[in-house]
Amino acid sequence: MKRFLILFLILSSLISANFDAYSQNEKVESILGVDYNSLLFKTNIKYKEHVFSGLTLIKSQPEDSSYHIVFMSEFGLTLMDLKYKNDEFEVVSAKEFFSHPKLIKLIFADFRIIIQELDFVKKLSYKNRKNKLNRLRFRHLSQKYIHKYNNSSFVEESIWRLNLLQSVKVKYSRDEAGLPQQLYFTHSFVKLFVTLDLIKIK
Amino acid sequence: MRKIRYTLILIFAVSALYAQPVGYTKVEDFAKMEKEILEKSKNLSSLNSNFVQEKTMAYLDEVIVSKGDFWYKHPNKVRWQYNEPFEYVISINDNRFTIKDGGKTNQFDTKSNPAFRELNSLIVSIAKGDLISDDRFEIEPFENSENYFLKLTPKDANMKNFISMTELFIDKATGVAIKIIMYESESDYTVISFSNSKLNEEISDSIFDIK
Repeated sequence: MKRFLILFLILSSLISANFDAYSQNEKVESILGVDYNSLLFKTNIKYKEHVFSGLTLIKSQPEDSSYHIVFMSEFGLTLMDLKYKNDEFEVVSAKEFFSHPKLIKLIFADFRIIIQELDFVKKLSYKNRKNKLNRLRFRHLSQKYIHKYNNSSFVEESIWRLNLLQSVKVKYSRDEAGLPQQLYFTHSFVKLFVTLDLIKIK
Repeated sequence: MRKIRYTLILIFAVSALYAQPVGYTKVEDFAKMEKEILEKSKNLSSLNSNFVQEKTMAYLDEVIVSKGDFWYKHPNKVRWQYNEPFEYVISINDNRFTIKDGGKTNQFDTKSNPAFRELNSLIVSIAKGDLISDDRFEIEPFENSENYFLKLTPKDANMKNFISMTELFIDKATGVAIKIIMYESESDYTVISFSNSKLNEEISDSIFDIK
């Protein structure tokens, strides 16, 4: 009986320690870690043998609580305009190559990682880890998200996983103030590489 | 009946005003204007200008301004050098395009970026003035004492995918473009203004050879 009691105490202490490590629904800042009205990025997209370069504007529209993501060519031509509102993405416009459904799905996934509003996520789990990057993990829309934080509480790496075959990794390079100077997206089993270099923040 | 007549007159007056830009009158002799512009275009061996590019997205209340330098050398060498808001160079030299982005230089075939290829060919034709004979566009010409003003509506389905209308201001004295406005929609358009244009000056081939 005593043995069971000791075993029970050990197990309960382990379980409680685990729960202490994950604080649920803790207030989490945005993944990008900055307040902005608009962000302008120099952009390079490599998809198989195709290369696209230009600018990406991420613009917050407080009047209807939406965000627009506009990818444009060097000469200003809008190649793709996406809208994120009420936790859903829609295509406002997409020219030629960018209207391919598979590519659009991937781009939705990429931008959901960095701009999705965490208020829509039911359960956030934040874990403080000694000598390792702190982690924010959650499941949302049957997809798994892991955001790894550096010591200054800014996200350094994000991972999105739909299944064993489909995942996206984002690496953030930040300056001393924590501004995301570069975002680099890689995709498992798809030759799609996206680099966003910050030009302007408003 | 009188009300209807007045309304119709007002509609015609407003549409006439919209179609004809302020300070410009319709060009009567299109053939003469075309000959004049093409003659100047044929004599253009090189062009170097500063440019300011303003991308307006009125629906997002956003204007993105870029500045830089433009070089063209007959027959097919082009260099766009963006100095603001970031340093970026695009060069086209015999159907190969090279991008220099910071310290990195990448070379591609123009076939790998159709949007860039279409738009670059359009802008180069506009800048050197030979777009006037391009049958992919329906052209409405206007003029004042200094400039021609052309409204170009694409007939070509491919081009329509990119641009709904282009407005082009050509300097009568030189025959080269001073301003291009490319409309994607009423609330989404790009203005490229050229200034300090130098025509037919020697431009070294090395300008287009980016390493």
